[in-house]
Amino acid sequence: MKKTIVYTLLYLFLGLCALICLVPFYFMIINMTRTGQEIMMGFTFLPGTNLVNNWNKLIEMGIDLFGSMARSAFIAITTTFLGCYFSALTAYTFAFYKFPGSNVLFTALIAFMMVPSNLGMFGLYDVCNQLGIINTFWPLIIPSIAQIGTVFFLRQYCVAMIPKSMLEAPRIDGASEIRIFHSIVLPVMVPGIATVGIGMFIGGWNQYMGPLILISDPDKYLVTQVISILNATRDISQNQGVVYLCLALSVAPILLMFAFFSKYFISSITAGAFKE
Amino acid sequence: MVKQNTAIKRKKKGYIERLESRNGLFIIPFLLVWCVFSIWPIIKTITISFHDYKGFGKMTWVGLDNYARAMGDSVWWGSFWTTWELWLPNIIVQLGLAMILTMIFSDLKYHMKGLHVWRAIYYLPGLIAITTVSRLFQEILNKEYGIINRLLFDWGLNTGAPIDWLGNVDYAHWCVSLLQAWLWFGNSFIMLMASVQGVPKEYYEAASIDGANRWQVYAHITIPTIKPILLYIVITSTIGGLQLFDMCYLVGTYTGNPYRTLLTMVLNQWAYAFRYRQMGYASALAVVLFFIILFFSVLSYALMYGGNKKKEA
Repeated sequence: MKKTIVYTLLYLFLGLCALICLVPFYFMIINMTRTGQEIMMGFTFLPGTNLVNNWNKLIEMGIDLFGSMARSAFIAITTTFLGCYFSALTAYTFAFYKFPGSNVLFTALIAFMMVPSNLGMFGLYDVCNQLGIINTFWPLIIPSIAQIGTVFFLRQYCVAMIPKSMLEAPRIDGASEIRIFHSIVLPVMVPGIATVGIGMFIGGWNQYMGPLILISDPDKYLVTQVISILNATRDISQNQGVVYLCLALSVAPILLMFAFFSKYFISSITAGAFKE
Repeated sequence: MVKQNTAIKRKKKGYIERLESRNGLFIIPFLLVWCVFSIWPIIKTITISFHDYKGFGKMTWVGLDNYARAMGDSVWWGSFWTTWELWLPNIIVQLGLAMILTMIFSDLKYHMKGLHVWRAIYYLPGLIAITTVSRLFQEILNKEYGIINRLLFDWGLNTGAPIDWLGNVDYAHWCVSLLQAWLWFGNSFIMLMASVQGVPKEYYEAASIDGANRWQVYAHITIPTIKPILLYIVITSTIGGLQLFDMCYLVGTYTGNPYRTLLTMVLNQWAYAFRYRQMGYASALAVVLFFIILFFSVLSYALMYGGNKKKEA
């Protein structure tokens, strides 16, 4: 008897926590189907009938939501691929090759992980200005090649998963080192790469501060920037339903990915913490 | 025979070594990008911090003036305390909630079902872009038509004037702080839970055979095991919290409205760099913040590893 009560209470607590996490998104989804007037009057737990109308209004208003989503997707995908490939290559090199200064360099990189990204912020703006790449996507894409945390994690993964003897047979057969990397090392590393890759994609889609500093041309805004200026447009405040619809659309790709790859999401969280 | 073997080995070793030193070239793309987009900007920031600079045009050397100015700047000190004020309630709520959930899911007597479903739900807020979260809560907490005010009114909890949650000096920083906790508690919970699951089951079995009660198990098995992860969460949260920017900027613009209650250190820097066009001063503030973060990182690493060593000895 006592056990049942405790179980009920515990599940109630878990349910309450879940409710706190989900309710804001529920409001979002309900309100995207209602008119601005209905939203101002109060709220219900049942969806309205105005979804199509809100959609038409969104198109009509000329909010650059879909264009910005396409740009965000482009950046998130390219940074994920570049980041995964070059991090894996660098990790593999640090794991299996001794070259002059490799230990010193690796120690320096680990120490560098302590440096907060904020320190280079204004310098980065200035450097990009000098290079003439302000208002282009280059400074958002290229830095993904050098991600120290990812290299560190993948190096540990390499050492744990790939015995050195695995590289010897193809060497004797005369395969080039880059070929060994592509056809033997990379496939073995796929689960580890998926773990960090998912984090990169989310980070690429959700990034705000970088674009805020580096992209000032509204035609090149990413989805986060478009969402952040929604309230600055005068007529949209008349129509809350469209705001909610925009918010819902902007998170849809992430939620879809989460639905399919939640296993990798969970392991990407713990990837940073359990390094040793 | 033996000699021959070692000779072959040496030859083979030499070959591998040559191969290895040549293939060190694979890290060149990484190094190049790292130097251009990490090292160079940092050197640049430090250089700018000694200059009077608008972000364009001429740089004038001013020595340590920017640093001296920061120390006497009451707005900067205000932003320093604001940053901590925003961080502290967040970490307490976030870790407290994560700990309670971890205890519930690791209990010996009560086996809660569906961990991976709960875990996914709790992690959901952390996945969403801060811009979307901020916009969503600006709607939910809105003074005139926000859902929270509407509910308070309907339930008779607030019959007076509706509360401007994000525009009121008394409430705004609590809202932002608790929103941070809302964003991150699932993340902390997953890390704590993962580390509890790493404890060998035998420990718990042995404890229950010996008749240890729930609280003894927590105090002597669970807490000591998750201590490194607890520290890790606190450290990363401090480093992240000291650099809090986006939500405060989105809610309170570059002045940290209302009345600078949301003006964090990074937001203050941002305002100086891109609004007041004092890039030199902003860079000096960034360097100061770096030393603050360095201090706390070193301190917490010392706590983490210094403590462990003592125990071993």
